[in-house]
Amino acid sequence: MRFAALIAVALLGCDRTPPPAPGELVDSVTSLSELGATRVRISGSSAQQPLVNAAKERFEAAHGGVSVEVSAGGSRKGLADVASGAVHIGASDLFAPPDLRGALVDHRVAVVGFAIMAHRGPYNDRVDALGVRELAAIFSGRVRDWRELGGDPQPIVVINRAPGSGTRTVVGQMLLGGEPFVEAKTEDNSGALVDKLRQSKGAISYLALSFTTPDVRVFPIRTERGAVEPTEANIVTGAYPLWAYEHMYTKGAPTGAVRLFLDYVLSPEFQERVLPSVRGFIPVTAMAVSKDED
Amino acid sequence: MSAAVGAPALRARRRRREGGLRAALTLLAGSLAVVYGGCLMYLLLRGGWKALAVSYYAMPKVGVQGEDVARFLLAALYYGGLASLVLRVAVGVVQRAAPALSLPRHTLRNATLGVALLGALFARDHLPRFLLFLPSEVRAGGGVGPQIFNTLYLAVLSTAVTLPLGLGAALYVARFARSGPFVAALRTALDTLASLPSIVYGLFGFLVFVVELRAGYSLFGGALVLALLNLPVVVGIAEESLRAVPREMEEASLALGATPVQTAFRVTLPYAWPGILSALVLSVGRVFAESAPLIMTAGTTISRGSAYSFDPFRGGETLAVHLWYVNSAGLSPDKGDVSAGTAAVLVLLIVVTNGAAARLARLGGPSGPRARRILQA
Amino acid sequence: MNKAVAASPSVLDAAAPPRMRRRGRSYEGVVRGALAASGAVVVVATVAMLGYLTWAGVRGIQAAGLGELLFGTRWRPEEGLFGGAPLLVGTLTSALGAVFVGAVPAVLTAIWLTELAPPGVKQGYRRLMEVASALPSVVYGWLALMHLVPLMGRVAAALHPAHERVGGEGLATASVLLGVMIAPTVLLLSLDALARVPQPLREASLALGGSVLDTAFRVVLPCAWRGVVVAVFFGFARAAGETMAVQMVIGGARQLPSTLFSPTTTISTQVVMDMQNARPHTPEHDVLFAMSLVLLVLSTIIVLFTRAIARGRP
Repeated sequence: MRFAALIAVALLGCDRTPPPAPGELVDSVTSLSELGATRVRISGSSAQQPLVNAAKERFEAAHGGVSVEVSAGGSRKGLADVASGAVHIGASDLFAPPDLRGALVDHRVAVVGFAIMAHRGPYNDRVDALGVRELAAIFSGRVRDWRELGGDPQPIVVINRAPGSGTRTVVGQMLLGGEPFVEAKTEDNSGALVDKLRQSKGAISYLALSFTTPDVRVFPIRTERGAVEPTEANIVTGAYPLWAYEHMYTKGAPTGAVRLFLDYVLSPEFQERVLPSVRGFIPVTAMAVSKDED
Repeated sequence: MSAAVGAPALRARRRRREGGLRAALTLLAGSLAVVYGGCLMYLLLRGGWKALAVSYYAMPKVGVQGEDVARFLLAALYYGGLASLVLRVAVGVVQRAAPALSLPRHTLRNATLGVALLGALFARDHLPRFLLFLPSEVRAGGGVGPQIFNTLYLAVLSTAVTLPLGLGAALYVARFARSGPFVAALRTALDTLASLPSIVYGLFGFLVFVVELRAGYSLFGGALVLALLNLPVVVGIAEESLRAVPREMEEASLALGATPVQTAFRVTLPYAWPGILSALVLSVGRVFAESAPLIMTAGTTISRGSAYSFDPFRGGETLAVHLWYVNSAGLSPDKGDVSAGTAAVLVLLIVVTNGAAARLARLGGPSGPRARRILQA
Repeated sequence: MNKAVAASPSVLDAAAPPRMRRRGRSYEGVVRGALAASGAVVVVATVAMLGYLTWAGVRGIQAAGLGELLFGTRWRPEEGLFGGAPLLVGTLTSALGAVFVGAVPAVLTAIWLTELAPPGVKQGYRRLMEVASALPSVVYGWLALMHLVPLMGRVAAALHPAHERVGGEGLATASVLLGVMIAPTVLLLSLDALARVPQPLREASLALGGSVLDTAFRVVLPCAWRGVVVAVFFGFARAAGETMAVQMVIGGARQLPSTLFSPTTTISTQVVMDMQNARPHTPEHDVLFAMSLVLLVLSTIIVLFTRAIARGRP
């Protein structure tokens, strides 16, 4: 009891770190939207989360009465939710499946690249790049040791994303060609996945480019043009194959606060000033190549 | 005295074996205490600093509706809690140093309230920043202000449902029940509710509120689901408290002309009230701790527009859900610190709640062991 | 004067003098009705909940087939495979592991506390355990994620150096976590059970020359065995039903665990993870309810079993 009281006294006045500068906090409310208190619900892709959150923070600050509620859950969930009407906007890395395409309106808000990331160990230093066929063998479980790729003997520990993840689907279609992934431990949360890649020897997985960090290895992909790094320049020209549109699907044409939000996300102000500052995303207008299917 | 030759040696061997076993058991008990005590200490130390240290500088307002009220209330709680701790020790020291000095009756309580009020009026911007700021998805420096608000508000909402339902059912069973089958059905229902895994509650809430009613995530749905979760405990303890009321008091009341209903509400209930209150406080503790049902009914989001709003039909993240979310879906770079701070705040809330429940239970009604038997049975 | 009314079982009605029973009837009736109604609401809510879940679960069983759900080994809803054996095996083995890691030491510690501990220790220990049992499961899950998982990763690497599918997240980690979570509750329940053993029994045993430990294990424990077994089963049921904390540390691999350290999944973990992607009124959605129904049946069996044991209490 006395001990606790001592600690309590010691805590008084002890945080002397200065408060954040006004610019670091999101701006205070400047105006009330004429729509009153409304909610815009968004769910879906976790790869798109940094972008949606950047948009949400600025949009909510500018329109005081509107709440933007964002939840993750994976691209498939986003599509399911918007189709069933549970949310207004479904964020997805995938094109809508054929049976939903009629009802949903596609808004392509950005382009995101995906990277093959692995634990940085001395055992894979000699592996410069990984070809499409090698990646297919790794993620389907046929190749089980880094030795077979040119490195030192070390078992490959595949970490999968959840089955509903858009990243997993895109990687599955582009690298595995529809072949099933090996059953391995699942980590859907990108932040936690990066932590695991940092700590577990032999680990390899696939994430959106927003999550690269210097202490985790990012593998270039070996194509006919040689080893291609996952940079914005390479994605824009199409040299790097792993990329997808970030879709915001609405059921029918958007109205009201939802339309305001989408207008903001597609506005030049957001696309040219905010989007480039969110790591890993590229404006759609910058792309030199395009696609209509996954 | 045993006549056998080897008896002393046998006894010595038995004593050694016994001693070894005793030592092993003591070691086991000691390590268990170290594990749990260590966990608690780690939680408080790792996260406590961030969560609890008063800030030297005044924290700017974030600019969210309702923020003033929320800061005021939080400051009152914070300074009041701090004051009650420090003042109690101070009063104890004073009383020991000068036993002849007699303090006025409610010194401690009034002093605590006074400090709480002063703090809330003048020092509310000096609360730790972790308790004031909004959470941040992608940047460092996020706080849990709205989550604390949501947790406490959800506890209030849930208790508002649990209290009438649970108390009503308990009162009925203990004092007014006529038909055997209905009581049996009620008891079976409560037993069933007690044995369901918490995820089943979440699924049901998700089905009813999010899918079927298209109401989206709401605190209201979460409160209803948690009320169902808490009913077995509350009804069990309340029933035991009510049954413990001495029959003579009720008979006296009835003899004086009161109707059974009047007796129940003016004699039985007040007598059993401390026990019932302890059951409610325990249910509040459970609301603080649950995450699975809430993830699927109240959601995992905080919005600027409804961060401190009293609208029960909006979604909102609580502290426990935030702890899970930050580690499973959050992208903030300081999630270790945020998790530690959230866990520390949670632990403090639960310790305070537990302490309150224990003190209330001792005031009257069933004593400790019986209450726990009902709790866990 | 004394109208011998047929014996009314209501406690208060029985005590009230007959003439008084008629006073203020309308108000009485309304309040009584309200009280009965709250009881009815509880029953109705429970029935509705179970009914809805059972209906959705049965739809799932029809979609996938009970045999496949219980014994099939490949759970791939995106391909239409609904083999629930990995989920079931994961749930049962992690709960069983939790009993070994947590419940057994808890019972032993309860015995130590009741029989061997110095006088003041019991109350403080009990208070510590009460706080520990009230901590949210996500807090334990987070602590495990931060500290237990790396530790187990090193242990797994030491034991299975060439196996690529083992790591910090797995069956062993989940078992240890669940054990730590259930131990305080099991300990408190066991303390209650041991406290119910009458003191004269202990004294008689000691008087006959038994040592303290002998008394504890050969007299007190057998006397309290019902309560202790109920406590252990309660811990097992809780471990089997735990969701969020397990999801953080078990790895989520939809496979039968091949070693103690393999990542695997449990029913509740998989339901929570898959529920996100499943669209309502599809087979993928319904089988999740079917698996929850399996979990429900499991919990109910355990509860019925413990009640049968407890009923025989002296």
